[in-house]
Amino acid sequence: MTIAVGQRVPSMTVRVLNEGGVEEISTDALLKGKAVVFGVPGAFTPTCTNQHLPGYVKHADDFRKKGVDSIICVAVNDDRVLTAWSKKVGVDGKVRLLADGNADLTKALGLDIDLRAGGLGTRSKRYAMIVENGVVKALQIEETPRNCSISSAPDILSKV
Amino acid sequence: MTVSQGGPAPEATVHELGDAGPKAVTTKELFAGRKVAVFGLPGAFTRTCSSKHLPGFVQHAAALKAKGIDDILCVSVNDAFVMDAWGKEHGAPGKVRMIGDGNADLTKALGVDRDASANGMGVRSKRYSMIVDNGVVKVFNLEPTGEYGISSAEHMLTQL
Repeated sequence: MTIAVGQRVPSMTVRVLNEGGVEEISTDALLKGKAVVFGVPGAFTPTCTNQHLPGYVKHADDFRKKGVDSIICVAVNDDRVLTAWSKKVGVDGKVRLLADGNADLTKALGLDIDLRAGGLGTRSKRYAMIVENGVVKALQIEETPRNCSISSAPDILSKV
Repeated sequence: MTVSQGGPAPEATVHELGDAGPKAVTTKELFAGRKVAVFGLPGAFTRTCSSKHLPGFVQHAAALKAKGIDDILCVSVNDAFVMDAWGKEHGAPGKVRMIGDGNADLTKALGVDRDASANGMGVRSKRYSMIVDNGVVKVFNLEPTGEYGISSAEHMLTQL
């Protein structure tokens, strides 16, 4: 079942990139305060690389000004791939990358999608949510992974 | 069961990045009527794969082709987008084709899949290489876990 507004993000350990490599952290600790979490179907795919992630990097300061403590990008990719991708996009520490390589978090959120037809296996739908102390306050799921509108940084920024 | 030397290469569909996105291609199409060098590895952008395995085949591509190899394929349980980005970083275009086995179908059919979920990588491939001649596996080199030697391009040159 897909997570809904008012529900708590499931407690689990996730892998987040930091400057030195990978940090294992609980979702409870990660989502303390106000967070914007967005999911992408895959590192290095065109929409994710050209629009979705760069939009959040570009607007990171605007989110901070509106009281957002952290911006987190979730992808069903491993940490090595996400490290390479974040360098390519120029994330520069503005967005935290969560490597959900086993799709554990994505499945627990009910936001997984079967992309086997394109040879991508199980991935994440494209979505964004506003989370306050672990509780989902807003959730926007795109109809298809190709769309990047209601989950885009400008749209979410207007809802924070 | 792991594929055996002298037997037919398994049939599976994999993906290679084309102009319009990931393009499905079958092993039948890849192997029919030609001699193909294949090497499989645990993941794009990972340490041994990036510093030795792929660079070795890029470096020795001409030598392998001079010894009768028609095509060189790098296979990993990553999607075609990630494989393409990784290949470009290492000068693969024109030398080594980057094949995404994102659904792990070929890797499982070869019997070389392994559980890498402890590292947040889900199902991945063991490290191996093989020479497939017109669909028949002539040589199959499977590395013991954590090792790198018999699946290298340098070793394959001695097997041709």
